[in-house]
Amino acid sequence: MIDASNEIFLEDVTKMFTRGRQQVHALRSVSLRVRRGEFVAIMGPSGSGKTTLLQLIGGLDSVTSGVIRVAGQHLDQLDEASLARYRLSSVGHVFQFFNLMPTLTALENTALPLLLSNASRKQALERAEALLVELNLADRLDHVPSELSGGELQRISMARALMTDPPVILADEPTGTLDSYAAEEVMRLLSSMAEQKQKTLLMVTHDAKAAAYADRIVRLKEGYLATEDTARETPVFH
Amino acid sequence: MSVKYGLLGILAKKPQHGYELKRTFEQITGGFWELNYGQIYQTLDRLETEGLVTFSIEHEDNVPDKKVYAITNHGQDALMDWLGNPSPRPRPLRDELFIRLAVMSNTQSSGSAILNLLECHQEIYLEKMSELTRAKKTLRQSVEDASFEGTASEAVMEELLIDAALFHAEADVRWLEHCESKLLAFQRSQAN
Repeated sequence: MIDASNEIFLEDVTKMFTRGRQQVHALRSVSLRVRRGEFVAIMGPSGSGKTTLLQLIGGLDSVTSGVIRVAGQHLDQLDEASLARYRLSSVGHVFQFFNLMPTLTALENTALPLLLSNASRKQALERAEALLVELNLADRLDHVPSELSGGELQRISMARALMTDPPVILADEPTGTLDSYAAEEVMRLLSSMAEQKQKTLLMVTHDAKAAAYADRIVRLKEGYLATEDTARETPVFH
Repeated sequence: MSVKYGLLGILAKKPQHGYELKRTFEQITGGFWELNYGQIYQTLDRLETEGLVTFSIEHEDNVPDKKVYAITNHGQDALMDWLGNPSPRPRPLRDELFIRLAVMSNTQSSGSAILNLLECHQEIYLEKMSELTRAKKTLRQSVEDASFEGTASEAVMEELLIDAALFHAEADVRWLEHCESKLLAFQRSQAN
């Protein structure tokens, strides 16, 4: 049943890849519901399907079968143009390796998503500045990435994810390259920003300390959800 | 050993009676180390026999007499000596789970029973980590809104103790994940 309070809704989602002559199941019959404003962490070993799940929800890849609805939009039914709009306005991404442009300043990197939409340059830069100030980066606005620490780069990437004010934030191993002190600061800010701005936050991580900030931890194993009450599946061991 | 010097350290600040000592000890260890009265009084008796503390009797109307303990010069020296020297050996690693795994492999328990046990433990530790993270958040909040009872450095120490528990639980989760991957790989290699 579709419940409007579920910002992320996956029903019986399967994703298969063809590798050579073999069909590989990346996700098997995954059902997941994330309520609006909820922070869910997805944990699981390498190859368990975490990244695939994030890519499907981010509209970067399409399901083989099943229903996927995010921020009120049926991703399995959108055409390319609508999907591009969805990616720009409905989801913000925080990546493990930050994905910042090396020649742009912190301010310009943050403003980028809004500069790509119809907003004026002035408006984009003003909003970027306000977000960077909120993330304690007021004195770093004019620095380029090579002049900044890992923790600072990740905070810039968080600000950029929030630029278009999307209802959903997707984070892929946001603490993966950070030392534990910087990781803690990033998680504290990420979870409190999501809470204050009422964002739905879905984070994929290996880092149990980062996952502990979430309202709920869901575990993926070999394409199955190991801990999700709506789809309790027992993995089969061969 | 650490309880003994913990109590001495508390008494080095000011004399206290048994109940106060229990409360202060638990406070400075961030609520992670509970002492019972038996331990407190046994330790105090030993400290007194060794000449590291003395006590005086405090009379109050309508309540039983209280023994108030104070550190001696000899106690001060012993405390300084302890603080200046690191522990001679690493902490022992004891966990019921190790015994269970050893016994399970001896009793030919099925692979899936062992995997279930590992999974269950992962859940427990992850839940514990969420709880500790919430405690940390509450602590920070109380420092920010000035409701924390204690000094700023006491707040930092309390947070570091929560961190210690978090790092330990994280190590357990990582080891459990590692066990799981290795056992699955082993099962696959046996099947082929």
